Amino acid sequence: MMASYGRTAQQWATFARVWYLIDARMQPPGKISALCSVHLQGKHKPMYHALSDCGDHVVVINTRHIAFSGNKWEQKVYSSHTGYPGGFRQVTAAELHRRNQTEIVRLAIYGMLPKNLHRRTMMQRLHLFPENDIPEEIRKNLVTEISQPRKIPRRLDEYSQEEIDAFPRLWVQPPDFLVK
Amino acid sequence: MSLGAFGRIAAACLAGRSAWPPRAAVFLSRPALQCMCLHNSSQQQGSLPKTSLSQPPWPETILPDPVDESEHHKELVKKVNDLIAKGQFGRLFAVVYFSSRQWKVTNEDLVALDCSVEAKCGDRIRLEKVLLVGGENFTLVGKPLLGKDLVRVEATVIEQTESRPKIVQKFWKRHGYQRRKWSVSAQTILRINTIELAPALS
Amino acid sequence: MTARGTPSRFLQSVLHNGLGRYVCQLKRVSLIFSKDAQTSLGTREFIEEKVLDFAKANPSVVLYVSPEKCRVPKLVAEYLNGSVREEGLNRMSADDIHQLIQKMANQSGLEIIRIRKPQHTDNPSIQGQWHAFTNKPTSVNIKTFEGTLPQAQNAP
Repeated sequence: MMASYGRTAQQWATFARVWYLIDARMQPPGKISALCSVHLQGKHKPMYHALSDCGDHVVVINTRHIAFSGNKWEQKVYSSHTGYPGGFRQVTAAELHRRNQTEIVRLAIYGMLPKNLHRRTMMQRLHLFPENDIPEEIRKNLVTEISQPRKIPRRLDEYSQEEIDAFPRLWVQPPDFLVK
Repeated sequence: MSLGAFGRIAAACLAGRSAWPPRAAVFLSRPALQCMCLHNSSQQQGSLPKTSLSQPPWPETILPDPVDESEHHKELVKKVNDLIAKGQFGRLFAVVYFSSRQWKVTNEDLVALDCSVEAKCGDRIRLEKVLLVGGENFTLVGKPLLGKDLVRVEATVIEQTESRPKIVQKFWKRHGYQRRKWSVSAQTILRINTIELAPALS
Repeated sequence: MTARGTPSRFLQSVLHNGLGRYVCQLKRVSLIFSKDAQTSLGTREFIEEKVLDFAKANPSVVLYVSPEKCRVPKLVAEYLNGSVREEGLNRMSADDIHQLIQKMANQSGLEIIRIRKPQHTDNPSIQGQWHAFTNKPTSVNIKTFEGTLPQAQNAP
């Protein structure tokens, strides 16, 4: 606070890295990646500056259980080129997810980070896990959990019979109703 | 969802008995809805299991009791006024509005304004639009400004100078069009001298 | 030229001017002019009419008036921090010279170059610098991530 004491020790706390956990179960990969890219760049901090390396670590679990909306599993295409003649590769999201269960989230985050020399460094601070069992040395660093961007809807078999019966019905099908 | 169901009622009526006029179908559906409401309210008197429709999807806001709130406010104001009267606030900072900008200043700060001020060098001026004052343990936020009897921010004009020449250059290729304009704007440098607080918080 | 390529400095003042009282930073002014050249007409008029008023208004400024044989009259200003600035007064009117000398008296003698930030403070933080745990509940210290991570089996 005072100039005479020096501010070095206080800056250590300011620039300390925090480890965040985010659960990708039943979440759209784009929304997860938007949150991750903000936290990897450190843009959630009030002292953010593009030149000061202030990004945090982000641990994403359950990337195997991400949820694409619409027909993206079949229609979304990930393209790459090996560099050799005829080396253009195109795989659908479902196929890519079958090969590598963290790749869709990784590519989405990689595309959302700024295209500069810091991108590889920030990607090194990203830790992706297909399931929710993570190594102990990563787990003991975790500080906070980022809340999920989407609320997971309850399936019908997760409701009790009492709740299903209590659900108000607008129209009860008469026994003599003919379904066309 | 309810609209869709409503449409389905009308459609079912139309499909089942096509001789019915559509207006009658819409009219008939109204008592059915009323019945449903009655049915629902009768169930609420008993123990109703929680569904997605039993309460609104947004979280319930609990407002504090106004009597408790006013008492708490009084206590807080008294505490802060005591702190101000005893001078136990350490170094103060303030957010002042000057030259259509907001400046976060504390004592002994330098502020460079891109305009000329109607004051001579060495004059002490008072910055009257104070938006916020903070000490070490409390912060007073104006709505939007703090009262003139509560806080007093004073500054000295230490320099009235000019900015460096700025060049605005225009160039169209292949058209022989070049314009270069040098512009110099006025600049005033202020030294913040004092930020004073009076125990007049209400 | 781009703004980044130009020389720059931070906002500063000479010897904490204005902290106690304000000190005029202009210390010495020499007016060098010719007695009979056409180009010094305005300078001579300024010396006849306005220079005494300026000297009375600014008692801390030493003012030399030196007639010399010269084509271009000039004004040499010396500041408290040691910087010297020369301005040519060729064919300037008395009013223009008065404005120029008044402006130089208002300046601090620091270089007029790009100023990187419009504010300077020695105390950037009063209520403490931000860190990752400001305004966070202390419960993050003992967070166990129940519900998202499998819980470790505690040995009895």
